[in-house]
Amino acid sequence: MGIGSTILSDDGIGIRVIERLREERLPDNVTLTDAGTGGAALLDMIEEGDRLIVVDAMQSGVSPGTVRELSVEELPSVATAHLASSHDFDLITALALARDVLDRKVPRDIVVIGVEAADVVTFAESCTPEVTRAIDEVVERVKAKCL
Amino acid sequence: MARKITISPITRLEGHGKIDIFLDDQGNVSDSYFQVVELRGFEKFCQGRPVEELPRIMPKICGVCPGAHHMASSKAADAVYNVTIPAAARKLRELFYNAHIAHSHILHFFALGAPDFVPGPEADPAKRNVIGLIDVVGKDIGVAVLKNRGYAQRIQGIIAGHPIHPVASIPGGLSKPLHEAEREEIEQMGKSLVAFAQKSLKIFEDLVLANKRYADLIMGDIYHHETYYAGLVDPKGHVNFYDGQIRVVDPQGKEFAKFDAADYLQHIGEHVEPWSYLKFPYLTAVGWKGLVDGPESGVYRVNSLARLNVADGMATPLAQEAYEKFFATFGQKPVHNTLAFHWARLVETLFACEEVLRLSQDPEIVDPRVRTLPTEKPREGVGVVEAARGTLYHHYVTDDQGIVQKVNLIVATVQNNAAMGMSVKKAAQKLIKNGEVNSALLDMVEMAFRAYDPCLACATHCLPGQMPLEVRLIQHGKAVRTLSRGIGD
Repeated sequence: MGIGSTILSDDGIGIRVIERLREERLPDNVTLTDAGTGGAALLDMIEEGDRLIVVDAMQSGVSPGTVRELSVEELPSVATAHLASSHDFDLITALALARDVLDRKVPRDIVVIGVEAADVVTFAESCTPEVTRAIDEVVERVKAKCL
Repeated sequence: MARKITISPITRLEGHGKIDIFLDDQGNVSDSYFQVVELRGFEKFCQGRPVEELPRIMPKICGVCPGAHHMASSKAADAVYNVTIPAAARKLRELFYNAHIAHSHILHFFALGAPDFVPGPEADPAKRNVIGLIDVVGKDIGVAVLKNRGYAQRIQGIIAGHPIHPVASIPGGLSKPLHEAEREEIEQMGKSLVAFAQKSLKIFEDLVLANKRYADLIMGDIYHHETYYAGLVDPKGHVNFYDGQIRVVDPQGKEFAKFDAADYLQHIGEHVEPWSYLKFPYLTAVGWKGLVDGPESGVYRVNSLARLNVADGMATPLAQEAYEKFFATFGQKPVHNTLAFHWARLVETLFACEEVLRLSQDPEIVDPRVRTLPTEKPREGVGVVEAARGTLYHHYVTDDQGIVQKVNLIVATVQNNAAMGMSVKKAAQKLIKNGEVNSALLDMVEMAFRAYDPCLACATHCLPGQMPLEVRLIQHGKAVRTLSRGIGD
């Protein structure tokens, strides 16, 4: 699942990864989801399954293009763009609601891949060069986790 | 002696509300400022595009209200081409849009607004969210909330092509009609939605209004400003989200102005303050007098409470009943109590759900004629809708090939910018005395914010609608205390 805004430069890295993954050969048991900017709509988009891999932009102070894998527990302390907010509807809330209220068999094994953004405040339909270069690495990591 | 204050821009987190509260030597509040980060290059981003691309791109401004931008943009594009959409297209857009409003309001109330009351301000912060709410009201209601919110989302998806990336509304109408099987499904969901909207009002009555502490908060003085109000009304003076004229009433409720979208620049000006990226729309006929309320100040409010205040009633029977009960409880109109936005939102939810059901049962809703091909030369147009959060204007200027030259948006939240600042200042003044900060300050400030349901995304032209908040107390030019929430904590 890729999350982000495709009109805000690096904020869209999650979606760009999904677009690239659509061109790859992936096993039949893999579903790709463009979750837009997430929020409450995540509830409609988290499917039942064994494993959920989420890709999102982050701003944690490391150099742009750095790729990091995070667990769900780490999310509130790492500034991912769309995944964790102590206030608003986020991935953690969506997962809890889907599982505990709607009784859906949502994945328990969750991996978050964060890509450090350089720019998330300029309107543009492509990522900055450093972040664009990170797409290959993210795609390889995702493929490895799908096998 | 006046002191120049520079507020440094936020470097790390966008979508982040920042409030600076300035204390005088005695430790009392002298002033407060509400700031958000600016996003860059919006106009440039739109220029050079064919105008018909905008209804597809604009929804990406906001993950929370893409439907509103989809509608306002389509209507602006219609106006650019001076094309009248077919009757069935109008109904189908209205069906989509009322589902969008219902979705947005349900989500706001249960996920954001209600947790301020249930479980409430004393609850563990980790529980002050929709999960904590469901713990209190029970799983059955939780299921109903999620199920019906899902229905409203699904209806949008059926009509507009995708629940979060609406694409079907285009200049001249829609790209596809509704089929009978879809209509039937929407009708069933509509019935569930109406019942749920009624239940939501009952929940509010039982859990909020019946609780004296909350009722006092709602009726009380901290969250109270006597401003002008603006919102769309249909030809009968009823609330309408999709179309109508903009009506403005003064703090006594008298009609002050009524105009078409195309004339908005004659009535609304935008004041700029050096310390804020966000502008301050105001009524030019009254004038900008600063961040104050009252009849001499051009500050006006939008969003649910404003819409009920400017209207003569609701167009559907159950919502009309709820509207009458609302004003009877306060004993006056307009209602100036900021926390009443939450209640007004639920009255509107009932209206939106009744509209979804009514339109789904209209035979014309499956009429295949949903598009008029534009034939006139494109030039300029304004589209207006009531977004869930208030009046939304999209204004486009194109060349004679329909290529965008200029874009101006006035979004809902920016029109509440002045009021939000005033509400924060008032809460701060009540809760900070002689340097003593009441620990409930952050909660009380947030409650004011949440009532307005600000979409900082839209306000800064794009961000996911979160609201991390940082409050700094500044005395003698130094931040003596910082309270924050949702910022890397």
